[in-house]
Amino acid sequence: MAEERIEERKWYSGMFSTEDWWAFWIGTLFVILGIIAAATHTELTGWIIKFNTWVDISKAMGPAHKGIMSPIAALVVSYIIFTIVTLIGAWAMKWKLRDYLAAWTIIFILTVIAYIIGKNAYISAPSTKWEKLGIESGLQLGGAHYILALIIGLIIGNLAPKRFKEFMLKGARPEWFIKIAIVALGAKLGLKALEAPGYATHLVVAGMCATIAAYLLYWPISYYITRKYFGFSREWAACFASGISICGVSAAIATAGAIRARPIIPVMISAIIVIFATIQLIVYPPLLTKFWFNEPISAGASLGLTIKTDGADAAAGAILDELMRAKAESKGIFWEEGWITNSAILTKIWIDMFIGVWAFILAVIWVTHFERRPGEKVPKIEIWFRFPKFVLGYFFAMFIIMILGFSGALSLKDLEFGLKPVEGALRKFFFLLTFTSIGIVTDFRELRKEGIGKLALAYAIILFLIITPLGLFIAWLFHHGMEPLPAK
Amino acid sequence: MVEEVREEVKEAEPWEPIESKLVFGSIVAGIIAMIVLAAIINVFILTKY
Repeated sequence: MAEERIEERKWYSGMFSTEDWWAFWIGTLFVILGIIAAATHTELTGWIIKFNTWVDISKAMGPAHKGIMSPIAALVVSYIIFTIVTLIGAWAMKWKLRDYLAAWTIIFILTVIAYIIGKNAYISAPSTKWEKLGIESGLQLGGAHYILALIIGLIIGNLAPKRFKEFMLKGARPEWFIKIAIVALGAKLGLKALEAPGYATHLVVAGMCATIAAYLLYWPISYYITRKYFGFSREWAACFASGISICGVSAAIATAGAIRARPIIPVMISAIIVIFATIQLIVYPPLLTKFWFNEPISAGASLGLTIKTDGADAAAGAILDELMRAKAESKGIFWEEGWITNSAILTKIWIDMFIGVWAFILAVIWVTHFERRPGEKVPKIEIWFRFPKFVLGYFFAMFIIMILGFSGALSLKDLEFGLKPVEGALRKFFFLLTFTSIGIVTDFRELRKEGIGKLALAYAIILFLIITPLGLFIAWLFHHGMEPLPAK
Repeated sequence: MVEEVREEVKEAEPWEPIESKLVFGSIVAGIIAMIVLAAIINVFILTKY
């Protein structure tokens, strides 16, 4: 049956039925809207809701292009349009629309509340901006809105009645939201590349090289330790090693598919991955800011090499970006926003791309050596099926903007007019939706379940004693000395 | 679910030579990739920073 299903799959299978593809479609739609807006100077993206650091709450939010509508109108329009596009995706993926709509709406509202509170000047503004904002003191908690959204999500995920939590899970889609944001981030990198082509290229190449070295070492070490010292069977060890080494949940699932492991295995491993990724998201950014401030890009890249879900990695990158820049500003150094986040996401994106190749290699080894099915071949198109499609959106956004900008078809000013709302306001809002959603899907009570302890212990030991130190070293080896470009 | 985890541990298969090849090959490839790529990046990119 399984072989028949594989045979029936075409290269375009799943284009309208997977979260991955729908992140590509939605992200690309907004990027194209931004390009059309740039070419025609129409307000196709200016309505996107943007949140500001505020003292007077009436200035807490507004449209990305000031003055084109009232703040409330921008919020309502953003809600309606984001709801429509995600509902189309939900419909195509055959989700229960009514449940999704209700849960999504609650998540949207909670995210807006977290954003507004977290961006209050007394909570988040660095001391360098106090004078401009007219305040004399503050907590200087850059990124407080991220943590607040996460806390709200965690309260629902861990303390809310089970029925309500299960209901909220219908709309909490952290991987989907973050992949849409990552496509938008590709637009940001494209715009940055127009200003600093050399630096952007260096970041992309260094990230790719670091990733190749990292995952080729992570996987065998993790596999060896779990087999030899924790007594895992082959299928558990392979799925575990892929999950902790490559791209978390999707790697565990892809490996399970490649070696035909039982479905329970990636499910159990995924629960552990999500919990630890959330712990890392909370702990790593402040630690890196405190102890590795002199290597901001290496620190960002290390997040991509050590945090195993796209959502938590991008989220941690965003927090690190805020914390590092806030610390830099306190020393009179002003860095452009986004480079540290990009360094975190680039290493992760490269890792995500390798899962297709790795799943293919494992499938070949399993078929020919362990399962010994003579004559059976693994179709090479499996590599394509495993390829994370949202990555196509990220690179499409980056390259199309670079082509338009470098060819002179559109000026940087025009491109910024159309695309800034997408790579700025929209991306940040979907980042924050991710934080709320990560909290909701993270259930620390899973750790209390009997039997999962050994899995969690193995994960903790390998993550903190092998993956993290090695990731820090490799990130440094390939990025040392790099700093974000100065703010304009 | 819990029982399955326990059973798995009990039923772990013996280590086979192909696993040694997979682990050893990947580590060697990783170390070579790290040295070669780091040399390239350090010579052509990081010297500019």
